[in-house]
Amino acid sequence: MQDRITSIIKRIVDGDNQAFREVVESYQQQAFSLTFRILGDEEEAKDAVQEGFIKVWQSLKSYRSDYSFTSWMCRIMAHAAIDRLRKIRRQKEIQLDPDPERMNTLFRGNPDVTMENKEIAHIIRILADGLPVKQRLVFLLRDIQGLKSVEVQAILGLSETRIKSNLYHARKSVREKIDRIDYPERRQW
Amino acid sequence: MVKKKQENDRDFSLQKIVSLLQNNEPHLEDLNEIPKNVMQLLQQEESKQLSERDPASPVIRYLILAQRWLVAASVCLLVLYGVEEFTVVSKLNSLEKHTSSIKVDPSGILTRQLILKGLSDISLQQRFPARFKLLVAESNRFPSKIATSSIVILP
Repeated sequence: MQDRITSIIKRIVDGDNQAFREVVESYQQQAFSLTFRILGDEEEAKDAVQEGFIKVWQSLKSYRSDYSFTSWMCRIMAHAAIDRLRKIRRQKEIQLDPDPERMNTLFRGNPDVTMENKEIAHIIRILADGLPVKQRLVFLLRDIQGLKSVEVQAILGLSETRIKSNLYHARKSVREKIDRIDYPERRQW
Repeated sequence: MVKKKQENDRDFSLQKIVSLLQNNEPHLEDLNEIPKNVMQLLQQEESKQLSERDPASPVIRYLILAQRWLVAASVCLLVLYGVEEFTVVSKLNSLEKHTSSIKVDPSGILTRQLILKGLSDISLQQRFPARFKLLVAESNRFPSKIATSSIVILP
């Protein structure tokens, strides 16, 4: 995979833009998943992915092939999403009122339930909106996206201790939020 | 015990929601949308980069050069004006100091008038013939004395 991507990058650097399309097609789902989970909004996530890919294209000359392309690209995508998140937070504070019936449907005893993008966004925003940016990012990247601590450190530029502390506070706040949501299934757990 | 159970329940709730979100990855419905938009943005970016690299025409280059020269000249003029202004103000200050140090006696008043009001030679000669004679003689011998010292009045 790494060899394939190295040869594609060589083609892009030589001026073959169609090769870049291949990269976008191969990695768009992964990038979208990451930005979506950070932003909790489908359209904003798509815009962040597009911006991120342009930044990837601009920075390709500085990419070193001994480094994992996926990690490098994820870092750029995460930064594009973080920039967008800061803009959104400045522009509008999203007010969400958790709907007990909706939560009831989503959590009906089966954690393997399939959710639509809208529903995922709804839950992410219920849990993460209102958290300080660093706590939100650490929680979403570490717990929801499932990135390793080292990867989160590389993306956010925070030490391991600060990541742990942010994660602790984020989880605490999220637990308190969950406690405040009152729906029948949760009482049965 | 009850508190611990509550804590476990809460952890379980969080775990359950987290695993629910982990299992449900957001998915793109239209797989062509992002590549299409990215390629369009890429073309725009390329044309922007090309126009930035494009060498300017000779007229534009001349205009840019002229503009830079004008800016540099304006800055030089401003500096020159500042220096001149400073020199004039400092000279005026020192003049004021000198005139205020002249004794207030008839000869001193004459000197001050001479310096500040610029009385003409003729009017001085007519009004104070003896003093004018002395003043001319003194200032011929010591050109700077006129401003710095008082003049002895002849009996």
